[in-house]
Amino acid sequence: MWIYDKKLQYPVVVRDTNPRLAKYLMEQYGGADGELAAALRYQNQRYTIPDKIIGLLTDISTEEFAHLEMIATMIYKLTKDATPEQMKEAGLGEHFVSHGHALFYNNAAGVPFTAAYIQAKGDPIADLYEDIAAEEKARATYQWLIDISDDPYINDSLRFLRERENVHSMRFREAVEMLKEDQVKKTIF
Amino acid sequence: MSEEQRKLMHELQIADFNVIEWDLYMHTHPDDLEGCQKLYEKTTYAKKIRKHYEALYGPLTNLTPRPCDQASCTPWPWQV
Repeated sequence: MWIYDKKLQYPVVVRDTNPRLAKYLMEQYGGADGELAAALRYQNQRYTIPDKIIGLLTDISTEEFAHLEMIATMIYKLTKDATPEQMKEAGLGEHFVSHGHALFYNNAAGVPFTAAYIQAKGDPIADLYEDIAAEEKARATYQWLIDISDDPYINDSLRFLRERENVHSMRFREAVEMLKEDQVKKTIF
Repeated sequence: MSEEQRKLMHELQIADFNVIEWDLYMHTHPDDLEGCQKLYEKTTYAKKIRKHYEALYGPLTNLTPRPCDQASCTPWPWQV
């Protein structure tokens, strides 16, 4: 089970209304390499991963949900005071007529989230390699977001998130090595 | 949110982050005794800060008892 903790993992400061930036950030909300995809992927892979990796998938999945909440906070605050005209100018006219000021699990191009973005292969090495790739793709996305954004407060939070992808990737790589060591271990039954 | 509350919240965010980070590390370094000790210290410290915050501003999770006449003084994170 999960217990809600009423705080963000890292502070999110939003000073200006900027629906254009919010649109870009949706890539990490409902996009293929976004936080929702990551959280759901790891949580679902836990059941068939070797015991020594279950804790890692559980904790990283949980952290991804905390990142999802940070991205949601950014998108919500960047758009909450935007007029329909501002939403339209930012390319969020279609989003506005369907969702108003609500958030939705779309990517930056407005394509809704699909479970087809993620996989669970039931093969530990295949799953962990996918997880490493997912972290690297998310890291790259955060880099492009930082490059395209001129908001110093948002960029501070994005840099934190980018660094977390690095740490997760490193832990997944170590998990792969742990499994490889088991493979070559000579066990006499 | 007052400046004092924001500061203490920030301190809790840092303390909890240390726990998360050492937890992840220990999953792939289960034999690291120094890391295990660090995790224990960080968890103990985070618990202390949380207790302090919740005593002043109310519960952050449903697992902390809340007196019926006390409202939660922590805003939703996206309303700060």
